[in-house]
Amino acid sequence: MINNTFAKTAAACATSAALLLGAVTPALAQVGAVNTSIDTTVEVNAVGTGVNADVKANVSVRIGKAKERANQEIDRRVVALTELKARIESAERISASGKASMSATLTSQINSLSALKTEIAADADLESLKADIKSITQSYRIFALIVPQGHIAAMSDRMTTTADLMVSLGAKLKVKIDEAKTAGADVTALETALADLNAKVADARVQATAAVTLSSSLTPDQGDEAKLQANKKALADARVKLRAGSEALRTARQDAKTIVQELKSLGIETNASASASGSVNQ
Amino acid sequence: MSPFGKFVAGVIVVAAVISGIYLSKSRGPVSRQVAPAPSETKGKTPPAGIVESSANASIDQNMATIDSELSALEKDSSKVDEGLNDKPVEQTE
Repeated sequence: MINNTFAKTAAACATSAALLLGAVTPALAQVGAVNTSIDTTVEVNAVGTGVNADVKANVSVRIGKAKERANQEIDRRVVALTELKARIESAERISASGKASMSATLTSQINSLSALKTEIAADADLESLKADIKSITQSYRIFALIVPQGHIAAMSDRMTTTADLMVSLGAKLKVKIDEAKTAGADVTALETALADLNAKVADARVQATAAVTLSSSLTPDQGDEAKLQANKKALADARVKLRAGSEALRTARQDAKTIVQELKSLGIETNASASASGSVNQ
Repeated sequence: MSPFGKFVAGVIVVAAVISGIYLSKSRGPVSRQVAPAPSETKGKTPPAGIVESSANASIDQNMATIDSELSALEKDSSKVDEGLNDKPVEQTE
């Protein structure tokens, strides 16, 4: 009679624990605690083995899901870091030492994540898995810094390259404008557009440099909340600079288009294929 | 006119023709300055039209390259935004 009552009580406790396991998060920490409790009760009392098997199965499923989520995050980061590494290596204006430094940082992160993925796959107990998952969460702040930092450097690099092309284009357009002026055409609007083009290109350069200056010296916050916020602000400010620079280049491109159209209206060719057909001069 | 006189006159005519040809060739550039061809070239100068195919092609190439770079810049911009707005896959510990 006593044994029967005790067995029922043990079974009820085990069932309650199983329900609690399914309802509360964060799951893994509580799964560990509950699992230990259930195992002890059942082993001591040698009853409720069916419930114990269910709990173990539940824990196993949760471990599997936790590993799946961990792998998703690791894979996602590895893809992002690998893409960024390729982008940095293809940059034209970043110095060789700058590229090497960024590439080394990215490679280090990729290697760490790959090693972590292997460890997680091999994790057989909850404590090890919890530690590895914690490592993923903690390393996110590094990822969240170096990825935008790298993309800001890459975008700044392209803005500078584009600005160089614009300068070259502006010089050629100036030759055409001067020729039209020599021929007696009114080129006031063209000269105004060219001046604006040059000003916008110069502004884009300034913005690109400022963006890199703001972001390149940032370092991981190591859990320092104040530094985290300062990093976020610096990255956001750099983003604003890049937007402004990008907009300046688009305006400069529009100026170039205006100049080319105006030159054509004056009967001055700017298109080789049009010259072959004679359409511009007619 | 005696045969000798005719001979002398012939020599003078031949010499005059040769001299004329020589002078004509030695003053070539001068005569080109008044040739019709330069007048035609002058007629094509601005605002009737400036033809510098290599420079024109270069402008077109520059414009096309810049358009390509600006397009790539948009992609870079999206990547920066993605990086700044990144959200991790939620982990349970």
